[in-house]
Amino acid sequence: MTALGMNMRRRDAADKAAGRTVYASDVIKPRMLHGAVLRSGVASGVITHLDVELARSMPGVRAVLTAEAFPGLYGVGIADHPWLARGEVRYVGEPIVAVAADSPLILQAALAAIEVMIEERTPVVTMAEALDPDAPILHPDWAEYEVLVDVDVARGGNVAWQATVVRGDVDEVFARTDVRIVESHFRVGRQNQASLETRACVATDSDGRLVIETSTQVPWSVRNWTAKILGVDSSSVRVIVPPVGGGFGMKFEVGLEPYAAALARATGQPVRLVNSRMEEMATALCRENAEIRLRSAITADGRIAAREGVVLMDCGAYSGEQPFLTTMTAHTLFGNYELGSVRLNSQAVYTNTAPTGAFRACNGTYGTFALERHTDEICRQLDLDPEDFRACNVLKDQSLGSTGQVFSGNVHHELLEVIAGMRPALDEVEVPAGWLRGRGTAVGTWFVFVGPSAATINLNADGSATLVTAGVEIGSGSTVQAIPQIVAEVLGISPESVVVMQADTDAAGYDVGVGGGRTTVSLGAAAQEAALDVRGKLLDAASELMEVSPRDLEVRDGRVMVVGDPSTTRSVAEVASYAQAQYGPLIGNGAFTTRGTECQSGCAAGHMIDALDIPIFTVHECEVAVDPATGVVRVLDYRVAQDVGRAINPDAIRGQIQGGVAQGLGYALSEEITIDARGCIEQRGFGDYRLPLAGDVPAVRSELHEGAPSYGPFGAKGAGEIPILNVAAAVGNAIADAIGEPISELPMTPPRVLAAMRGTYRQFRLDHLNEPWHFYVVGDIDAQHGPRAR
Amino acid sequence: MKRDLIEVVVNDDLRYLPCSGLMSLAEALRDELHLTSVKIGCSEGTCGSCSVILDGEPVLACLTPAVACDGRSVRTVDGPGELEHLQRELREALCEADAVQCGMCIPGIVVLASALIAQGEIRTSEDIPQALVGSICRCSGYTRIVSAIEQVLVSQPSERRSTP
Repeated sequence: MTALGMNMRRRDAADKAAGRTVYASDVIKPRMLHGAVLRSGVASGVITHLDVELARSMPGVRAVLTAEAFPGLYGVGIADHPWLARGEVRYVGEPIVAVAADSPLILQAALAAIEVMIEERTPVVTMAEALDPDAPILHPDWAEYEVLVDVDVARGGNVAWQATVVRGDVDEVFARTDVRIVESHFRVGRQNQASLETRACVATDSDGRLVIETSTQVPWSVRNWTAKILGVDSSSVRVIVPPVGGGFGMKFEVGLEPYAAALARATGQPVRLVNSRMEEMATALCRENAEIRLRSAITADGRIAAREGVVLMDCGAYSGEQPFLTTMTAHTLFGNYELGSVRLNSQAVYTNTAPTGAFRACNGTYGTFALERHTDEICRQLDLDPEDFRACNVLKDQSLGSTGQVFSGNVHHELLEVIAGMRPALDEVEVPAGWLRGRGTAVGTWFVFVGPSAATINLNADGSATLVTAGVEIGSGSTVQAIPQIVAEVLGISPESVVVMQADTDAAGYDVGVGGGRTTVSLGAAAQEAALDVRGKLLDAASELMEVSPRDLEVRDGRVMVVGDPSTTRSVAEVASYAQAQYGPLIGNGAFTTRGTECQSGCAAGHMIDALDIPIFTVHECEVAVDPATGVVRVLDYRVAQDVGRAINPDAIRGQIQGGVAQGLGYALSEEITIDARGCIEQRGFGDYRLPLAGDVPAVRSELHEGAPSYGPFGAKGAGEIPILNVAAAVGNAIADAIGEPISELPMTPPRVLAAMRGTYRQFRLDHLNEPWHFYVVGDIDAQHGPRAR
Repeated sequence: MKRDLIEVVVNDDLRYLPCSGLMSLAEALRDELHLTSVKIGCSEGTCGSCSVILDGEPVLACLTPAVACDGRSVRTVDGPGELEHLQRELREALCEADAVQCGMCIPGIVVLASALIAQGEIRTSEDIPQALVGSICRCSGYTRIVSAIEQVLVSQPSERRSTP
């Protein structure tokens, strides 16, 4: 029997259900201190007075650290982020002082005893304010900051990063008389990851090194960045990751670890920091709010002759992941369809608000919302059939993407056919009396954030295998389902006999982290290679033992056997024992990274990746009902057709689809973050930030589409991130269909739906996005793109 | 800081807990007894992951002052007692349904659902989503949790279920 396609259950589920699993937030150590940071209550200001002596002198207070203890600047694209505020604060919630004390009560008293005075400035709260020529510059020293990636980037003032795509002559096409032009504006809010476990860690100073047990998706980034922020050697930091209570992207960056490590070093005692829910509401690295303008020139035969876009992404006070994410608009907002001429400018904009970051499918979610709403708007305004329009324009085999990447396969087409087959008959869906019914379809394109991974397999003398990687179990199940199944398939043993070791940077080689749909692909491929390596050694030993050429041997069901003669056989345990005695234990190694995908020269500037490595495709469709009296939306039926490459564990993928759609419904309908004029996020907990509950989420019907090209292990693609991609788009299109009017803002709360019913969004324009495209460009666009293909 | 000793029967054992005026039952159980099965998702009574049973009633341990538990009986998901069998069935059904992802919400849901089934508050499948209105799961999208509870519900003796 094969381990691939098996719906293996998770070995970690029983302990999790029984409350026996110890997360980072549960770790208790002898002599452990409690740590926390004092956070700024104002969004912008100069620290005029800081006195920590009273706090420091309190009994039970063991360390009080200020900015000098954190000399390094952090960033993903740009090193612009001090880990404690240096002389000024830039957002509400910014840490100013770090404290460790014997108990939580003493800790709170110590934080209250710190004297801090801040001379408040008027904060830059919105991107429109930030881009005003007279706006204060958040980072006057922006030109001095180190750019951390090998990319020529245009930036300046409050524009932290600019990524552009230019292909062909857009002006020429828009001036043609045989095209019709459709323009749409969109505005989307932030979304909080709201993992049930907040950010949490415990650090210990041990044998001269800093050992950090933490709730993270990126053990190696935490190792390297903690060291850089503290100004110590990265080899002196060890990161261990217990099971993580949800991440969804927020834990894809370093978080509390540098505070815990510095406090542990200062005190010689273990220090635990756990964010409160209120701290997470104020400072989680939310999916960013964004503003989008899209214009398309459509020919008489319904083709997209040109598309132009401006995207403003609010990175908050420090740029974080947003410089990378400006890249992704080219492949989502400007993805899905064959385009003629293209120009797109995506900017990460500094504001005096909490920094934003990665959240499951990142800006792909609203890029897809804007694109698919725009697509339906094109069809509505030009009287085209949306189904035909999509079928005609979606990416096909050999189609060019917006950056000139050549796609292979007709996956969108196949998925559109699958979704059409899943459509319920009119009378199969029950609509409440008097409510308006609508259907929405959305196409989506996403990718695998491939990157480097390492794996080592010990094939033990008892026939079991131990896989050592820096892979983290964040809940998706990859390390207890798909990855053991991949190893088992190669080694011919049962997946239950494959154990994946908890991530430990002292044991496992470098890994980018668990996120970006890469776990099963990158860690899986490294594990597959390690398994092939050790399998070769196993067969060599078996060949010696059984006096048969290794070419004539295979491994199945835990036994090495002669091909065509299953009676001549030895168990894997027997062979592994023999090998161990003769040559030493059987060990296999594997390493994996991206192959890279070409784009057209000169198309993309300021991009950290130029093309989608392992693109993934998906189509969602739903039926909704809208209460015309209240604007309340109910999702009646939800369907997903998803390209998975190869389904290693179909039930696990369906679990990701159900959960991803639920998060997407929250994003689409109820999860709203508002920021007041003082730059303060107004939602303070789950009482006023409305997450989807059990009664809100329908059972999602899904079809897993196999066979599209992928160089992942056994043809697998990432399946956990993409389920959220199209949800706001499909629901938005369904609402627009139900009410007969466009809707252009997320989340689509009842007041916004009612406003849309009154036609508000027909004329929806964001004033600061009304200038010509070139107005928004930072620097010399021709120089940035150089000579290019037309 | 004044810390009183309170007497609480925790999972059938008499325990003496030092507790200051502000300490919640969740903190007392986690920090003093190391019962980390009582998960903390919000500390403000909105996520349900710290659900425990106090004198037979499900409560949110994060909102329950520890001092208010003096002389009372607390059961967590770790404990023996009349709900032990029902909780085991729920846990097995959740595992079999592949409903457990990050797992932070699950112990609280097991405690809550077992109490509500035993009390007859959950009598039909339709009662389950309403019963979970105070339980947040960010991973699963709920349907597998609901169907696992449903499966345990239908296997219960008929006096716990409504007549069709």
